[in-house]
Amino acid sequence: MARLPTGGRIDRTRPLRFTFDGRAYSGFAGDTLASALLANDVMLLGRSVKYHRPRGLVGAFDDEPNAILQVGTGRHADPNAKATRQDLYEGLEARPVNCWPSLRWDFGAVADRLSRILSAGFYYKTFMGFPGWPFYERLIRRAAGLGRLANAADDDLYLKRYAFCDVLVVGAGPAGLAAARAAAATGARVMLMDDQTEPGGSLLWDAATVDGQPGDVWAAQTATALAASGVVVLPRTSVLAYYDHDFLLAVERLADHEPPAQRAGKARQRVWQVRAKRVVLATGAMERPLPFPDNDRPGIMLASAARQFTVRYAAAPGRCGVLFTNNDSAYAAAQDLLTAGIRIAAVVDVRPAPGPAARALEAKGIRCLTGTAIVATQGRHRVKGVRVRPLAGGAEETIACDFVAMSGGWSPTAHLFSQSGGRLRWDDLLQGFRPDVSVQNERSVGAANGCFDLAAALREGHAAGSGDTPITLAAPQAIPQPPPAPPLPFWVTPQVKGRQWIDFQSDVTHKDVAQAASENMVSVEHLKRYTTTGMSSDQGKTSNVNALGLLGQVTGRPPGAVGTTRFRPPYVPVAMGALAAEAVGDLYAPRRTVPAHGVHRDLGAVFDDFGGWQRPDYYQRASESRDAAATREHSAVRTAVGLFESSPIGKIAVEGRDAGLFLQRLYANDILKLKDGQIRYGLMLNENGIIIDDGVCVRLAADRFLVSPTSGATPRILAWMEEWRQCEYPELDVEIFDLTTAWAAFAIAGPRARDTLRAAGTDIDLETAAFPHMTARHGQVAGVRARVMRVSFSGELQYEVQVPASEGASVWGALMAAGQAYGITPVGLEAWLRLRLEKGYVHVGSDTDGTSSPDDIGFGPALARKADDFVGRRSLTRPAMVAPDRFQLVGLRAGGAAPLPIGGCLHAGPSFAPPMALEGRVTSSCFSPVLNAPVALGLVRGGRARMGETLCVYHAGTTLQATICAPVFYDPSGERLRA
Amino acid sequence: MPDQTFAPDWQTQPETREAQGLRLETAPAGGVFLVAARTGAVLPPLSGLAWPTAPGPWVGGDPGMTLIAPNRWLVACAPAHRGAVGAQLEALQAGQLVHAHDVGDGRVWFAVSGPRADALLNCGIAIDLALDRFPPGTAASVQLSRAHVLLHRSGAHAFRLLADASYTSYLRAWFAHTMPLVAGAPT
Repeated sequence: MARLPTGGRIDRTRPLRFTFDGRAYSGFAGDTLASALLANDVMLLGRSVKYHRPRGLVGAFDDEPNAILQVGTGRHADPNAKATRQDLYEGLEARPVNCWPSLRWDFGAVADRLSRILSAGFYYKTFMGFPGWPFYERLIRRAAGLGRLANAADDDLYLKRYAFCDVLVVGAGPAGLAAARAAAATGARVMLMDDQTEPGGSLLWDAATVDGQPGDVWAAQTATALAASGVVVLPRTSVLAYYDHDFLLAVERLADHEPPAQRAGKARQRVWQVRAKRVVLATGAMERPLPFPDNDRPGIMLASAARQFTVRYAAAPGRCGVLFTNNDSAYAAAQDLLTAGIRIAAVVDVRPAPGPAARALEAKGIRCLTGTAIVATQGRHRVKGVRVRPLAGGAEETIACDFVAMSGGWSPTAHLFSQSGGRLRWDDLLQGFRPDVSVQNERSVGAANGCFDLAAALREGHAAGSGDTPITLAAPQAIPQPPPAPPLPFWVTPQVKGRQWIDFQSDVTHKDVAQAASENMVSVEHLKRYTTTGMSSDQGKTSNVNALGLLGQVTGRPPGAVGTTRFRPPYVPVAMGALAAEAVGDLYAPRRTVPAHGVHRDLGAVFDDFGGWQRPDYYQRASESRDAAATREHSAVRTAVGLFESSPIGKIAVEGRDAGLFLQRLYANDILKLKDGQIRYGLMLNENGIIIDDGVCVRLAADRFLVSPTSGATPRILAWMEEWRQCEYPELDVEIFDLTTAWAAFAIAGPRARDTLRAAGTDIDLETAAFPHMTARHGQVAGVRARVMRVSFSGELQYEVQVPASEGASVWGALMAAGQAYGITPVGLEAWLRLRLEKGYVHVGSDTDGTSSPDDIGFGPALARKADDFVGRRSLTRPAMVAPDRFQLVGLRAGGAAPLPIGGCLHAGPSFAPPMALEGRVTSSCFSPVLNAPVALGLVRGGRARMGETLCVYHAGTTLQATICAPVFYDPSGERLRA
Repeated sequence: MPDQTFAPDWQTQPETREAQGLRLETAPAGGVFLVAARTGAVLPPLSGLAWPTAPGPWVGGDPGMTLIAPNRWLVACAPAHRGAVGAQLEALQAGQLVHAHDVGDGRVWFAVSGPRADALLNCGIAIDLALDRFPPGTAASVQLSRAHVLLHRSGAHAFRLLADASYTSYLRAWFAHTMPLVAGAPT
């Protein structure tokens, strides 16, 4: 067993059972999945993405590139969970990914044998123009996949939260805690986010004293005090992104550490969208691997990871290790490993002269081989030994070991800084990139700023937290340490055979980088895309600097001259469910309901979404089909009376001394000539002369109009009108009010409409002489104040009754009751649209598109009579707008009994063989019960001059015939609607 | 296929929902008047209330009013005062001082209260609801998730939201989803 008998921050009184790859193991509360596996001596955790190489742990937290596991099952499956970030819980089930038939014997490993031909650029060179790419793409994707998404919908719950603060501190390590503490002392609103389960950062595994207390104790007490003082302290919270204006996105893992069964009713994760006045980035640093042949074997990990697993989780990385380093930090790791009782076979240091750290270790009897490098490793599923050789030349030596801890120096975790737009600069002392110029109100502190001395990091955090505000609170104190010797640049082990891994997650080796450079991919942007280094969920956390250093070395440039790519959000992978939060299912988008919604539901309405409104599509009786119901409703309107709720139709009041003039300019039709109580159908155009909406406009009084845009377009038209009112015609005395939902509207249509309305009770004289077509009246209907308009979208005698919305349901009921004697039938939208189609009425958006002008739909002559200017008029005279071959709206009679397919392509025939000139398309179509024949509308090239011509209609492999005709199929003289 | 499981009501009956200290009440709006002053008009007080000249403050109680756009106010009152307030506005309209419309029939009030009411609302509203930034007596036009609402803070832990009634079912569903999650989450 690799579980150490003592130590660690785990709770040994709370054992937890879990499985990995079907085998049962146990760990303790406080373990991560990674530490628990390590404590069970499980080193082989997965296969690499490209070559299917056996892989184990490299890092201990966010920096882990290999241990990507499938965690959970069914709906709760997390396809790409990092074992190092996954807290252990009772019953956790984890499986390796990207291997078949098993983790130990993976068929995909044949790719490793073919590595010579699968090097960088393989896909580009092999498959550019290669026939059958879709076939190969499938194979490659299958071979290179990570976890599998659950087939079922994710039923976990997620929350989203907006937050605001004066100071946001990212990272609760020593510098971050010092910053939060100082910021809170200024009286600022402070948020402190940290992605670990407990505060402290490096203090949790790097023994230190702060303010006279053990570092971890100081961290816990400080975080507790901060929370008590009102600071929002959020553990398990990863800041994913840093956008403009100090807007940051974070995800808090609320319940990922609990079994799925215990998450029921609770949010699994919460996304925070934070606007901060100042940001302090205390995100720490990441250790870099060292490149040497086969440095990816399971058991080879970062020295800091070996140290963290040992000290924090009491999980030994092995029994006997070799440390390989180019800097001093590995010696501290060696001391901790020794203290835990783990044998150190040797420390291999590429630097030529031993420093004080090496001498201290040698004093304990540990071999320190300086000026030496690992030149080969042994073992397959776990490292068994290393071969070392002096860099200056000399004999090789084999050292047996069961783990290797490597340290290639430290890179500030500058991802968020880079996302904020800040520029990085190369630091020779650090041998890494560090934050340089901030472009937002941000400061990086501590290791994130390249400051690795605890005392200095605490001071830096304190200063950043307080900002420019003087405070009496003193900065936390720690014992200053002498600066360590700088790391020796070591971007590749020279004069050795074999592949040296640069990017573990993307399977990029030193040969790939060299090959990219040899093919002139010398820009860092080209290198990234050509080799894929720094891509995938890892985003180059451990690999970027090594790749840049190596590229610089092979191209003869210092790494600073090579530059960096911009880090992209998210910093760590995030569940899509968390980003969607509540916006799924019924809450995906608002579904607006009409005033009589409940009544429609009780009448058997089948609802559908029309422009964001839930409206009755049809009213189903028994097992009636949609078509049968629509036909029945349609017939009722043609022969008796139908009732249709039209409440979503816009009701925009336009008022003021200049209201008429304003509408005269916005409508293509003549509005000023309307007399009080008169109604006119009108078109609105944009500046290009294209139809953007249609509807009726009522003149209620000299200075009051009511405009009715189509239901789905009302918000857009309202905004359009306001834009013209405020920006173009501010001199006009006009006010605009949206009254749409304050009024319910019902259309009573059919030959018995007048009888029905009269039976419902009204004080309005409904006779045509007193109340003709296209006029409006005010009065009472069913005891409720009402506005009644005589307009018709159905082609029949029709009244639209508008009443206060709160009375809508009752007025609907009164009208239905009054119409019983006349055979009244509730009518849905499907029948309603069929009625208008028979009449040849345009449905803007269906029968028009982004090129349609008024003349295209037959309104050219009517508009030509208007003397005043209006929006879009100038454009109507452009040559393209008056060309004879424009697509014009016409009627189409089908050659057979079947309705023409909407969207069907019209062509001259006889065969459909694209590319070919199309003559138009079918825009609306239905079977007309009145005519007992299918009817359709379509946009046809030069259609009005082609009456009687027969065209072919192609759709989905079938061809029908259609003859061009006038668009009005029913009552062309309009006698019925004027009755 | 249309989703037939969605069965909301539009013009609501009063409804109350509670979850661990959070309370949500829904009620029809009563009188809600959109008022625009005519050019150059000097408006006399309404029910003794001076018309606010800057966005933010909610003036009065019942009736209460707030500036919602340049030269544009929203006046709200309980159903019992609807007639009286409407009459005052009609008088102003007759005097060519204002344009006014009562849209209360198409509006609904949501009242949210409890110690974590601000946390609940900040799950859907992207403005700062801290007490010193958005104190009682303040109003703002905001989005609650995907619906536009007028937000009025009536107390330290109490808010009112005026919404278009066609969004009632959506907002009820949003609260039903979010309230228990907020109640069960830390902070």
